[in-house]
This record gives sequence, C-alpha cells and structure tokens, in this order.
Amino acid sequence: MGEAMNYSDKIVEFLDGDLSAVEENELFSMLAADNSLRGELKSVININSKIRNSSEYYHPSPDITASIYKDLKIDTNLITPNISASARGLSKWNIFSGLLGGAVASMIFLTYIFVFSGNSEVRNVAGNTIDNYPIVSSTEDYQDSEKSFNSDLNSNKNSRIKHVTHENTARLKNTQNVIANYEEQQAVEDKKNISDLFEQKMKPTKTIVLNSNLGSIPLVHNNFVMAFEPNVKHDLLIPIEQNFSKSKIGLSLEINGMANWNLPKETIYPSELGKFNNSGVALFYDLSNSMAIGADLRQETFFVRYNGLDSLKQFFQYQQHSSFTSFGLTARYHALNLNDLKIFSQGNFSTNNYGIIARFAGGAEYYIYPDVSLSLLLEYSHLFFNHQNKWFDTRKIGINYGFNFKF
Amino acid sequence: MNNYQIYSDAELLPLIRENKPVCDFAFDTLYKRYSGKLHSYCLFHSKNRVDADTVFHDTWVKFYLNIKSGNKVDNALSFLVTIARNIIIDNARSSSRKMNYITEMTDLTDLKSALPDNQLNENQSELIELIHLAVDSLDEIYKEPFVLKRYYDFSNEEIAKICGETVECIRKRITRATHKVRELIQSYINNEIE
Repeated sequence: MGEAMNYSDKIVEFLDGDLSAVEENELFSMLAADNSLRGELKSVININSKIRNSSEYYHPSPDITASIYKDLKIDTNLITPNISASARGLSKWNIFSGLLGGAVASMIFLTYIFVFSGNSEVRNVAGNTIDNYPIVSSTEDYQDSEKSFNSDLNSNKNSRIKHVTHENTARLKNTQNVIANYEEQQAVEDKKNISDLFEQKMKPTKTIVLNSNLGSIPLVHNNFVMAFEPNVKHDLLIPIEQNFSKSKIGLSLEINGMANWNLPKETIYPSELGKFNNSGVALFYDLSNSMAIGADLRQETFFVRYNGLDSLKQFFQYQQHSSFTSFGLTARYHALNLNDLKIFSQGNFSTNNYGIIARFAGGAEYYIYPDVSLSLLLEYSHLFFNHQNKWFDTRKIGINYGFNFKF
Repeated sequence: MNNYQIYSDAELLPLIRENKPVCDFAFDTLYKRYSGKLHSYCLFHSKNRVDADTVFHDTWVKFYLNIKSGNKVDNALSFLVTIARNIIIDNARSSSRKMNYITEMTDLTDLKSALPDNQLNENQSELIELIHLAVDSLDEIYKEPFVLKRYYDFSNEEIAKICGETVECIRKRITRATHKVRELIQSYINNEIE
C-alpha cells in the first residue's frame, strides 16, 4: 500500500516535472510492469487536463468589470483595440483619402479643360482670336496684293479661297517672326536664285481680310497649291496662327498620393490617421527649362524606435508610429526632356512638429495632355529628431504618383 | 491602431505608467488576460460570490495604483494573486476568523452565473461545477497551492514564495490535493468515458 501510494505520488510528480532522471526510470519500469499504475497515469492526466480547461470558464460579471473601470477612470470607449485595416493597408481613411485626392485632381483637370482650353481657337498676330471672326466653313473675299504673282494666280483676282480648317493641335510661329526669318534667310542665300524664285513663286499674292475692321495678314503660298490645303504642310506656308497655347507663366501644381515602406519595418501602427494621409500637394515655379523650385505640403506617417528614460528614470524603449503634416521646399532638375516624357531628380527639405526631413527622389513626368502630366517618383525620406538631448533618425522609401498641372 | 494583445506582460506593465489612452489600453489588455484566473482564485478563497467580487475589485484597484506609483513587477499574475491573498487575509483578520478554516461551499448558483452558459452543454456545466466543488472542499493549506498549480500553472518556487512555504512542502501538498480531487471526481469522469 505504501509502495503503491509512493508510485501514485511519483505519477503526479512526474506529470508536474518534479522527478529526477533516476526516479523517472524507476517509475517507467513500474509502469511497464503494472497495468493499474498505467491506468492511474491516464486518469491523472485526464483530470489535470479537465481542471486546466475548466479555468477558462471563470469570468467576472460585467457589473464588477464596469465598477473597476469606473473607479480607475478607464475609458470604456477604448476597450479592446483591434488591428485596424490600416495594418493591412486597407484603412477606410486610406481609401477615402485616395478617392478624395482623385476626385480633387479630376475636378481641377476638368476645370482646366473647360475653362482654359477651347476648340478651334485661333488668334492672329495682333492677338485677336478667331472667335471674333470665324472663318471656318466660310469664304472670304480676297484682295490682290500689290505685288504680282504668276499669271495663273493673277487671273484669280477676287478668287475665293475655301475655308481654312484650323487644326487645334497646330503650333505655329508668329507670322511676323516667320516673315522676318524668311527675309533673313533670303539675304544669306543666292539672291538671284532666291529672288527669282521668290519673284516667280513665293511673293505674297493674296491678302486675306478676315475682318474689315482689323489688319490683314499676308498669306504666302507657293503656286502649286491653288487651294488652301490645311493638312499639307509647306515650308513657307504660313497659315493663320492656330490654337496657340497661352504663354506659360512657369507655375505648376502637383497633387500626389504615396505608398511607403518604413525602415525599420513598423511593429505598431498609428492610433489615428490624418484625413489626407499619404497625400501631398506641391506648387512649382520653373526657373528654367530644366530647373524648378517649389513648396510642398504633405500628410504622412513615420515609424520611430528610440531609447530614453521614462518618468521614473528607468530605461525605456519607445516605439511610435505618428502622423505628421510636413512642410517643405523642393528643387527639381529635369535631366532629360523628350517630347512627352521628362525624367527628373529632386531634393526636398521638410519640417514638421517632430523633426526635420531630407528627401531625395527620381522620377518621370508623362504628358497626357498639353500642360497636364502624370508624375511618378521613387523617393527616399530620412527623418531626424531629438529626444532628451539625443538625436535619432528613421527612414522610409516610397512611391509617389499624381497629376501635374501647368498654368 | 495597435494590437496590445501581442505585448507581453513586461511590455504592458510600464505602459500603465504612461498617459491616456495608452495606460487604458495596457490595463484593459492585462485585465482581459487575467480577470478569469483571478476571479476563480477569489471565488475559491472567499465565503461567497459577493466577497469574491469585493476582493476581485480591490485587487485590481490596488494593482493599478501600485504599477502607477512605480512598483517594479516581474510577473503580473503572481502580483495579482499576492494582492488578492493579502486582501483575503486582512478580511479574515478583521472578521476574527483564522485562515485555516474549511471554506464554506460556494453557492452553486453563484458559480453558475459566472459561467457563459451559451458556450456550455449540460454535461460540461455539470463537470465544471463538480470540479469546482471538489477543489473547494479541500483544506485551505492544500487548496491554495493546488489552485495556483492546476489553474494558473505557477511553478513550485512561485507558489512557495506566495504561500510562504518551502518548495518541498508545496510539492507534497499539491500531490496530496491532486489525489484528493481525483478521488472525488474519478467516478464521474469514468462514467463520462463510458
């Protein structure tokens, strides 16, 4: 009996991990030889398991919990914060701010289209627009110029020239400048040949009077073209200026969204996000064709990890993932300017209520419409901040994407 | 937002000293983590449900104030049990009753109200009640180390420190308490298996 009791005790102690190796070997030998001991082992294992599981069913009543929270002034609205969708990049504010940014960008784009651009806008050298005297699908009376042309053309005195079709996308030089350039060119070339050619072919022969109240524009065309063919380009064909863009004032507005990766990778997430988190707006001024400076405003987050002393002077490691509004100055250099594509690099210096930020980026602008481009940047940001007289830093890399509107 | 549930006790305890709302989040996480176990301890060592709730309430308040004041704590649950135990001893002294008394049986209806009935079937509910009664019937000197070992997985060293006894003494008491409880509920469990 005593020995059985002894081995029963050893079974319990074995399950609690309190037996030495020698005692375990002795117990296993007895278990191998004694069925009842093995049955007792299974029974103790079973009961211990049920007792441990029963502990899960003890809960304080909601009343006592409320009483404790009330006495300790614990805010019950903050109970049980869950991992928000922002941890998975699906915060409703991320989606909202992205949609809102897209809506704002679309509204600005549409406003630009309707207000600042127009169909068939033509202006003459004097700056008047063709809208004041449309010539599409209409014919005008022409007066002969003072100089004569070849006999065929001369016979078409008061001939009518059919309407000029204006191409909205045509970009033409100022008529007077072209004529002046042509005259300069003429002086360089063989005067005899050119002058003969000009005398025979190229002299202005017609003056198109678009409006009797306005000045006239000399029209020059060669004698192979009797009718005005708007779609055929001629070297010396100088049609009426068509659809000039407004002269650029050098200002552009850029609206961006961002996707970032923190270095080091974040272990906690912001308790709340700004309304336009990971969005920014920048205003640029072109110093030259390749250089621009600007100012930007962006809403962003940084993850920081640093050391310090807590309120009791005990060593403490801080981890924060805060949301900031940053203001910065930017310098952008266009390294490569192709027709519709610009490659650039830029540097930015920003500040917020946490510290100072240095950023470097490279990117591209692609023009989808005159004065409207899509921009895409790869950016590196480095935040420096001070805590308890020590400097710390953190970094992130990100992709910025957005619209650029030139005024 | 942060998921405070992934923080260990050692990370949460200093956060209770921070400003709101961080301290609220940290306390709430610790409360949800240990409220069940502490409540079971209070039930086992109190006369009835009302006393158990009072001890439970006072324990958490003292715990929060201790941490706020800068008390360095290694093990949150051990600290909670120690506070609860001291409160129970103080209450017993104030009512002129010794600690070595056979605890009155907890009213089964009180116990039942603490259990989430919608998660239990009838057999489970009956088994839990039986286990509770069996444990509650133990002498106090056996019940306390048994509860701390079986319900909370404390080590013998931690239990010895809480109870103020030697490790060897605690080991023996746990073994005897296990045999006692097994005798009480063995037949029921055997019937369940069959």
